[in-house]
Amino acid sequence: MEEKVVETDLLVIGGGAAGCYAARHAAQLNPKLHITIVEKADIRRSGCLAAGVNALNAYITKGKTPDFYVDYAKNDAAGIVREDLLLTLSQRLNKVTAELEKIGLVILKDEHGEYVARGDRNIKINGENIKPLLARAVRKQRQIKIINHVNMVDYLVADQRIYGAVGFSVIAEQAYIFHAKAVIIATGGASGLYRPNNPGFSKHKMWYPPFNTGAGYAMGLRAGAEMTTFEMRFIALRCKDTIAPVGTIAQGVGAKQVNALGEVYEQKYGLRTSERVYGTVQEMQAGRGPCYLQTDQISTVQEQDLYHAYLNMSPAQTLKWLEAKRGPRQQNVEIEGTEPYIVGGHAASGYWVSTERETTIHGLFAAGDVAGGAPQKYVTGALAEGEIAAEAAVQQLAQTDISEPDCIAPQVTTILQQAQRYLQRTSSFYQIREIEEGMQKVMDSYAGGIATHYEYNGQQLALAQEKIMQLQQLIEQVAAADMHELMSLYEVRERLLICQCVIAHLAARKETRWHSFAENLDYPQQDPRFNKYVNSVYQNGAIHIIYRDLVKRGQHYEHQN
Amino acid sequence: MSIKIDRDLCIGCGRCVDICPGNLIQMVGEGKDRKAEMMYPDECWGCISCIKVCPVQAIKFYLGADIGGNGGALIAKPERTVIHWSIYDQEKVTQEIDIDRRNANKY
Repeated sequence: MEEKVVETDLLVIGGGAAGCYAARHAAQLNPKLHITIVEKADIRRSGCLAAGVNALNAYITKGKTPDFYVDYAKNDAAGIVREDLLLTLSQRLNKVTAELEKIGLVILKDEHGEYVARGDRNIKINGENIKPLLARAVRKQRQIKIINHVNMVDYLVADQRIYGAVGFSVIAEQAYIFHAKAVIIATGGASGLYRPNNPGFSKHKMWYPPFNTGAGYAMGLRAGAEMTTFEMRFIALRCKDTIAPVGTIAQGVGAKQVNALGEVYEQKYGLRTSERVYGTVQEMQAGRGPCYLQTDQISTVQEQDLYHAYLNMSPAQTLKWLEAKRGPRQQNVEIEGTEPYIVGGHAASGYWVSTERETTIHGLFAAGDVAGGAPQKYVTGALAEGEIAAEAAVQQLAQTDISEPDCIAPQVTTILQQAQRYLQRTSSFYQIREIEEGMQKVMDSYAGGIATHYEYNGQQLALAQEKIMQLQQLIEQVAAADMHELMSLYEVRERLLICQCVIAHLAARKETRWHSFAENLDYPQQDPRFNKYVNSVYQNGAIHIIYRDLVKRGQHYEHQN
Repeated sequence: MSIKIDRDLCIGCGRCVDICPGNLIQMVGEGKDRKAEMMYPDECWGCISCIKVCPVQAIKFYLGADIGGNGGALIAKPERTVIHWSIYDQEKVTQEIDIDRRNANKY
């Protein structure tokens, strides 16, 4: 295999929203820095925003303050948030929004030139081309080198400091070895851990990008980075089948959640994100399903506007309405909860970071969905975090001069040899896909998937752990016929490790603080003893749990190691 | 949920291969017969990035039968200020929607 060696000051892993923005901000801060973005697909259409986005959901609207936003996110997560992280990102939400407009994003304005709000914290946009716009802004910075179609698999770390990372082309027989003085990880969250809503042909018709496989979490775990709150899973309430967003209908035309009897049920269970999912599950279990968004009373104009809005961010829904010749006026829109995801932009799971977004590995910073502690960050929060991480990385690069220790070269050799083993194997008993299906079934049945209405108990979790470990052994024995399969193999390997971590976290939070997101049948109530973060470190094949005290709003958190 | 690439319309430019966020499309064949092919139809997210980047509208988006597909398909033709969307029912266009890219969503 050809070996490509890249020397860079700052390596950004993952060219989604957070990664692109971080790289661009770092370039603006120090025009002399050599910056490299390495991306599994193509930064023009990769990550969460590939299809577009329907609104900017994190914005400080007129009369509101960053503290209002922190309060909102804190309440939604029943207190388990990092207020320091939420506040620092909230303070930048409007700045990054203005920047998005400057690079070409269309934002709806009123006659006074003010952004038009959709609710307390959202503004209306045309987000179809948000990702190509971000990519174009990155390309204007000549010092940023973009390497597309490379899947990263491991960090190069010694004594809790990062020196680079290794990945493989998903097309050609090439290994990429990056030597970097600082790294920003921005690979997003993890989908595909649980059996999805549409497990057959349309298995990838899911809320979160199926290509966000949690590689950043897995690389961090293997390198000994501390993680937080993996037990706060995120489950989205979506339009059935197409898994298209419901907010555009609910907030856009004011449609209420109703059950099969036409009763509005959303007030009954509470309005937190998790409670909206829980309410729908409860209504179904009580025999009052299916559940719907009541759209049969909207106007013809509203119906046309919905067709347009969905074409801009989730065209499957418009196609579904039009090909069935039954629009939302003729038929209420059926809704369902998705399978659970691990995603730090909506829930609080991810790397345990300092206020500056440095992970517990020196020189490794995290931004966007891969960073924990700050739920409800959405697109603008991810960009804000990209800025914060970039500033900290640039500052550290100016202050420290590191040289790579001798133990890094053998690490590179080990990673390359492992890939060669997978590629050189001529046959394997199981296919990669079979192991992926096995994993999703285990998580679905025993770790609170759709099949068990997101509920689990300790015995089920113990079984899940045992079965996931068996699959971890099997994945090491499979063969990869080409570079695409090698990518698939690593993706399943990463997901299995994340499953192991999720199960350990679910078992460690012995309470039910968030309905559906973590519904522990052994402990059905919230317990003040768990006003703590559940954190973890992976060592010698096992997840070790650490409970940490809550970090308060005014606090500046630095790692003690 | 997936896409279908029309081999007769495809000019083999490879833009869809580069843009797919899942690396699911590959170039297959030699010379003039070198065309884009959807290698993993059941791994498509439905983001339609390929459809927007195709210069000859050779790619159609459709819903799998498992999620209520009814034989319809969607094509997008982006221009500088507008995206033309066409909804197909089997072979013929049943509806066209133009979206002005300079306008925000109303919702």
